[in-house]
Amino acid sequence: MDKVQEKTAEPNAPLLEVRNVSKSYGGVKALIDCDFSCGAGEVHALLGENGAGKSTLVKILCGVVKPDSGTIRYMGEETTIDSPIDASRKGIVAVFQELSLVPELSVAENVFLGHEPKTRWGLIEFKKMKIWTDHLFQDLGLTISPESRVADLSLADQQLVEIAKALSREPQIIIFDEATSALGSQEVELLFTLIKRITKKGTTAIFISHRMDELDRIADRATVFRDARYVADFDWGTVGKDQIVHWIAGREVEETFPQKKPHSNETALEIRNLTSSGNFYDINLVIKKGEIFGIAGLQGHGQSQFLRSLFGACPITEGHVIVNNKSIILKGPKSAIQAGISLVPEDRKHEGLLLTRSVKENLALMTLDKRQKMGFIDGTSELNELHHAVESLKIKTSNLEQEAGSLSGGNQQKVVIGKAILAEGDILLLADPTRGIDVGTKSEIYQYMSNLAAQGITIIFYSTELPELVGVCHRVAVFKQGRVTATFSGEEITEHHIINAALGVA
Amino acid sequence: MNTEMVKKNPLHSKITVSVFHKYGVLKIYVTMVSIYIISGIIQPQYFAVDHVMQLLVIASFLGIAAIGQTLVVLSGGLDLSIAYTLNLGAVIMTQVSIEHGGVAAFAAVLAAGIFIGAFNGIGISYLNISPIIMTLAMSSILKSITYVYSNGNPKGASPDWLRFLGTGSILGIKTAVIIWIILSAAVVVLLVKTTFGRKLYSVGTNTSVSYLSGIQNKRLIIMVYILSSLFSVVAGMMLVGFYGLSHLGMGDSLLLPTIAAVVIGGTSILGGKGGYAGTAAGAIIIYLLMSILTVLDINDAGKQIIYGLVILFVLFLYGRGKAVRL
Repeated sequence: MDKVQEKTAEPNAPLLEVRNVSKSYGGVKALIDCDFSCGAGEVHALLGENGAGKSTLVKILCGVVKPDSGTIRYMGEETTIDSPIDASRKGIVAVFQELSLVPELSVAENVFLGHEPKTRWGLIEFKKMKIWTDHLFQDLGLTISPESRVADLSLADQQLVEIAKALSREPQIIIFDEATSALGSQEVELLFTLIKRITKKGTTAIFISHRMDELDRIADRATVFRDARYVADFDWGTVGKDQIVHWIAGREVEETFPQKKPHSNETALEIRNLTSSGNFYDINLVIKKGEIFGIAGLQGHGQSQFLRSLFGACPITEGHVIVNNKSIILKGPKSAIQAGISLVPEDRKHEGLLLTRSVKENLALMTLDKRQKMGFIDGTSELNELHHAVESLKIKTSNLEQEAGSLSGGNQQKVVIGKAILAEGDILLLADPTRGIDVGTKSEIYQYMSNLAAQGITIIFYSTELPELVGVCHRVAVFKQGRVTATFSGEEITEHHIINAALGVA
Repeated sequence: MNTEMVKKNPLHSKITVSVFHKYGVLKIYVTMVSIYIISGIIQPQYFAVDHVMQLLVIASFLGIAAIGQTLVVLSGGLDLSIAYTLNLGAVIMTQVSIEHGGVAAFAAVLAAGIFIGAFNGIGISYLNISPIIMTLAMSSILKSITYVYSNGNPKGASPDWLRFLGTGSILGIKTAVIIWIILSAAVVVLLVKTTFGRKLYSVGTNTSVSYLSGIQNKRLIIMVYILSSLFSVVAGMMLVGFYGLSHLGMGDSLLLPTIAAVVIGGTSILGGKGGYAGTAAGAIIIYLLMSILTVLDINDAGKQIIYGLVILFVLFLYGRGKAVRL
């Protein structure tokens, strides 16, 4: 953190200066009179809860949306950013949480998409492209093959390719919007080294993250937004955590977890020799009623597939799943739901939510067949049940007809959770449910999980964030190369133990 | 904030309004009425009840065939076999009724419809064939089957009851129009009030979300194509009733208009968004336009150009969809 002082040796004018910018979508004000500025070569953190206006500011800077009012000064001149192409010409690029890669193309083709090296006849020089990508990756310390198909890469690797793609344009400003949320700790390390390298060369990094520990290691300055307004900006390290959290939330938020309640000794779920070849092998677990069972490990060691298999969405090649002493056959999600198992999938936007449909339709989707008579939907009982879910999850929506995609990230996730809860199963599978979600909403989700467990619902909780596994789980199993290499319970559950097991250090 | 939400609870009153706003159905009806009024100003005869009825009868055949297309497009697919399914249905209707009577013919036509739809649906869902390829191949197959089955010259005529459905009227309203209205109402209810409708929108919006919500996408897709073929053969039978006989190319001119009606009606060609109320107006607009252009003595080339421009104009009216917050 001592590096902060030397680095913020500011040039006279900031590189980018945004003044009095406002933007509203329909009736919703996403930004009100916001100010923001950053200098060359700094790592600037944007802080705020979901829906505070960070993403909107980023979209304005990338030319995705246009501000309703306000001015932007860039490199000392007043300017407008008319489109993403315009932004990238000006040297502003962004890496979003949602990947913008073309799955069917190779890594190299993706990296150079839109600025491919061409012969004078206008044909793409694939050889040159591959070599350039090789060089770029070597520079960045990436070990991904430029020729592999993006669809075949893990989510974390895809995210790294996305970052490489942004860097291949040699930007002046690079924006990371929740770019670390899909990354495991190794990849995050890699990314940070990368960021340090490019900022040394004078590139500015704007960094959105909800993980404070990350920011501690990398941020030089920060700007806080709350409720669509600018709240404060400061040099990182000069302001205490409490103050930052206070600015973000506008109220005191305990970052504590709800107390772990004892669970019953009855077996709810027994997994015997479960194998899905290529994904995970020989998993044996006995999970109790009302238990919150954590799944940990480095990204891509079979955890997601394990959860999907329990939901019938990933083929099981061997082994048994026994629910309430009955062996069940998982032919697909439908049979899993019937057996009382529901899943909150990892990828909220592509697997969890129908973004263009209403909150109502989304919430009801998993349980349509329960509220029907001769195929007709019982509208009244549906509304009642959904209202109940909206209330208990505290989903902020103007009405149930609102488009799900127009909700903030945290509320979108609550809708996905609500959908699974409405299935009223005994077993709930949560795949990284707090990814990219603000502190306040996270606490709410933990509290909600704790309440469900107290009601006797068994939760299997896969997460990429260690503190929350430590904070809420009764037991944690660590996956390594598709196998459970360690299980911890009670006091043994510490970040240290989990990391050691995940890395395979004794 | 949750108590606030319950207090407001504006849901019930808002639904009808939001349906109109959301899909721009209102816009399309305004467009339809405007074209109608302009037509009436050019040729006052258009304001006569008889003329309106005649127009609706003609539009009903397209309207019925386009019900199936609407369902398929909402599911994220496209049915290019509608015209030849319709032709085969019409030919079976007249030929079977020669020896076995109208009722048997009716049953045979429906069976053919179910069979064709199931074939399409299974190919698309289980064999993963793209809807365009599958239904295009099916078109080609059906064309030949119809030709061989009828020896190139369909025989027989419409049974009397069908003739009545095609040309008769009840209380001054043409039966063809009544049937169209009944089928329209049924499909709107199907889309809005049933689990099938919800699942259809879900599959059309995002198949992964749908699958992970326990919806059996494949079965649903098969059902959708069966329904599409059924509406096609029903349109074919209605045309038999209207003309009194069948011929090989009865529905040839209807295929692209079914797609046009769906698109003009505000249903997203990408699936998951829209509904039938718009398609019905789309079908009427197409015939209204064709008919007024004929009155204006504009030649075929001119008609096609204007027709194309109108489709583009309507799409422009809808805007290019609002941005979804990411």
